[in-house]
Amino acid sequence: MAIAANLILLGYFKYAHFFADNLNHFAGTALSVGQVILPLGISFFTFTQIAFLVDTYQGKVKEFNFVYYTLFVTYFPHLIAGPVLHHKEMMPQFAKRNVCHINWDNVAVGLSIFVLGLAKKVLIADSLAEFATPIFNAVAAGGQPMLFEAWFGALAYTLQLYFDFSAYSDMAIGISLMFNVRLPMNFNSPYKATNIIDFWRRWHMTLSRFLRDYLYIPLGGSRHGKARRFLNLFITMLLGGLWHGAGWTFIIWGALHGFYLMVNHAWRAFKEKMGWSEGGKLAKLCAGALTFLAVVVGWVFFRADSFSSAMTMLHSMAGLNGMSLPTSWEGKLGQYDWLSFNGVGFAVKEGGEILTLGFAIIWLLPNVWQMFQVYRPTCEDLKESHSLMDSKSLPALREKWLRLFQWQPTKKRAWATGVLFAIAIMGLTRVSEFLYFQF
Amino acid sequence: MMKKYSIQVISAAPLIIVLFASINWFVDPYWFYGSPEISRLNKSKPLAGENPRLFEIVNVLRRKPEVLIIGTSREDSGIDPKNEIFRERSVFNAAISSQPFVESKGILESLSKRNGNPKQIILGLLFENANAYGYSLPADYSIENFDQSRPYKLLLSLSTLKASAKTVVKNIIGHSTTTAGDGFRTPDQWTEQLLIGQHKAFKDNERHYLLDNHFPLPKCKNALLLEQDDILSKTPMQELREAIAIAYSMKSDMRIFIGPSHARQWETIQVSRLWSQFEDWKRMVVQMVEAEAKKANTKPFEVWDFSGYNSITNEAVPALTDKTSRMRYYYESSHYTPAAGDLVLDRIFNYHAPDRTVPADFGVLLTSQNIEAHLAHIRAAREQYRQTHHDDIAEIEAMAREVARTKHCQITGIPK
Repeated sequence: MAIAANLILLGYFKYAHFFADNLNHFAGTALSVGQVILPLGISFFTFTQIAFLVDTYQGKVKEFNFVYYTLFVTYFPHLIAGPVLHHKEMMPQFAKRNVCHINWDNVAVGLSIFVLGLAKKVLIADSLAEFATPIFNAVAAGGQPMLFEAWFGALAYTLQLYFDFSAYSDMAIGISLMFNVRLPMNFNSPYKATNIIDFWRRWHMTLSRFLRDYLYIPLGGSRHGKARRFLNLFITMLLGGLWHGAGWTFIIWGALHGFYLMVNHAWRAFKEKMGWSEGGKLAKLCAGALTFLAVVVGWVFFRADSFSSAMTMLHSMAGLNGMSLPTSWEGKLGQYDWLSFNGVGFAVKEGGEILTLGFAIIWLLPNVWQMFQVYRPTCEDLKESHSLMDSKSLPALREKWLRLFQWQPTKKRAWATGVLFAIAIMGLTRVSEFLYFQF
Repeated sequence: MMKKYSIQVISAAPLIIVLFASINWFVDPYWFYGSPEISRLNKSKPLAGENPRLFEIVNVLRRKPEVLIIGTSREDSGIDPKNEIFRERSVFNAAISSQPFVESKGILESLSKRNGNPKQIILGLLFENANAYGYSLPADYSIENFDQSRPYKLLLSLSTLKASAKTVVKNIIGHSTTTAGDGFRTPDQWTEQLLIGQHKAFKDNERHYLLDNHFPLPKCKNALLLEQDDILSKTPMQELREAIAIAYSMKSDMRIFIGPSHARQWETIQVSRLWSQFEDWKRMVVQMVEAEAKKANTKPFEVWDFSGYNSITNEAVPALTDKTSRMRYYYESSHYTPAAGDLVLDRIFNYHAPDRTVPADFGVLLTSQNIEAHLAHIRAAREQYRQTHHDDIAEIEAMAREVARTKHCQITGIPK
């Protein structure tokens, strides 16, 4: 009953309009929901409460302190964009005595992670949005991009979403650590994944964990044969898609990933049956590229305002809408003709630069967790008994040059972090660039 | 060690912000702060030209000029605030590329709120801006530019810091600005664009109008009013009416004019079968100016029409192979030069400059009494033009057919 109450509230606040609109569309009714204001973080605190209720029912909960519970549910750093918290990880931390004291180790590490997150959000994600948004908006308004423009929009959004979402998680982890509370890791270089199963182990990890423990396994998981396992996977991803937003495009995105996972599991079983090995570097590279491509196609549905807009984008990405070269190459002003139909254009060179930078960061550099790994900033690391400063006993990053990115509390790095902090703060006030010359 | 590190980060950030803000103030890339101008360092402001919407909106609201010029890029590069007509008065050219009527209205509204009523307003009108189905705000339009605190917020902006760095580099390498401090776009901005030859520049612009501007996506429609199902917001003409009403309430003298684009530009309207709508638009402008005057209990603003086929707009276009000859009155079919702009000002202010004469057929003062006769006169002049400019007409019609085949959606009016 308590779970139902939580779901009813989520259903009303988040999905009432969606269901009413669809009912009106398909059944010809005239249902009106009126204005519904979405409570901040409802998607996240509904899940955390459901987890608590289920575990209480199953007798797994040991901590029932009401104050800690309330703090856990309303804990502000994670409310906007996650991670999805679990009471088992969080409530014991609130009970610790030293949580109310200033711990300079945690302040230093938390502050640095927060600054990196803020910089990722403001300097990279928001810059990418300036290129992705006009393309998707123009498609929503009826524009039909050609090959390069469509890929440009899809890739810019793929990177934007990662930098945006993971940045919010980094900021949440950083802020929380400054309060001596460790949050779970939420992203682990997802675009380095070599298959979709691997992708979901790296992307929004706390959501994957929740869906596995509180939806997939209760549905039966893999306990009732292959067909049922595939069905459970598909249902889990479908509902996971719906959780992301009240719209058919999100459901399609979830279904697509459900399908990807089914194919991935089937392929894995087939490979085992045939006795094939994992393959060499080239095979892994191809697998990574294929995974990335599948993910990009999924993001097109996730971002598009409608199914038809997503299909327009994919149609164009497949080259079925022709290909145009930037008109700047003809001595014009660096705008794509089709975009200018909608009053939009952009400098191709600048867009290319930010895309290149984004790809270099996600594919060549360590992620934030790897950079700070030796200081154990997330709660997974608590399971090990090392103290915060006991870094010598931990494995360093393998590649020598990547060690450069390992965080250390030196004076130089303090100033570099301070400069980055200042730049990120100043990046919050932007000037909309003059991008085209139409009238 | 960790405490020291944290304190260093927390102290470094504000120090750096103050340092960057000081650099922004000193370099002043958009002429906001009146900082000292040092040649080879910050005297030239090329970034003002690259971000005209920011530079012009913020500055016009700060400076509160006595004479205000508004309109699109035609007026931005055609109406020179340094014209002797404006002598000893503060003038600012706030006409900006793609300026929709809502932005012109916003400037008047904000000036009114800040007690900056100009004595004289010059408003250039563009037919394409009146399309109720072409209404989209320019990508660099930002409501924040109308905010009084905008210049100060921009002191603490990374965008301004980048602009400052670019300004210094461009000053060092001797890059000059294409926008003057009074908002006027200097002819230099056209130098590079006209390297392709003036005839090609005409063709490119005409194609752009045929393809994009006359029937913009998503609806590929052009109308002064929205159809019942499409009414979601105000039409551009409603915005224009409100702008005119504000100008009356400011007790300013507004002179409105339809710009002197080239005859070939009017032919793109004809070939797109929008001519009768073009005429309706002029009727509507005159009607709304007179109606709003009546409401304000004052005499109507003057509305001048420089469009059509006359001694200036019929200027011969160099051959396609001729890449060096430059026209006196035009950059391309839509944008006129300051030489034409000076004649516009002479006509509307009845000024007699010693070194130039306004042709008698250039510019007609429109009223509800004379508009029909005037429109009939233009129609006759158009027929005459078509008889004498076969090659120009054939070239534009061929382009229209090519565009109709290329465009994703069916363009009403143009046969494939």
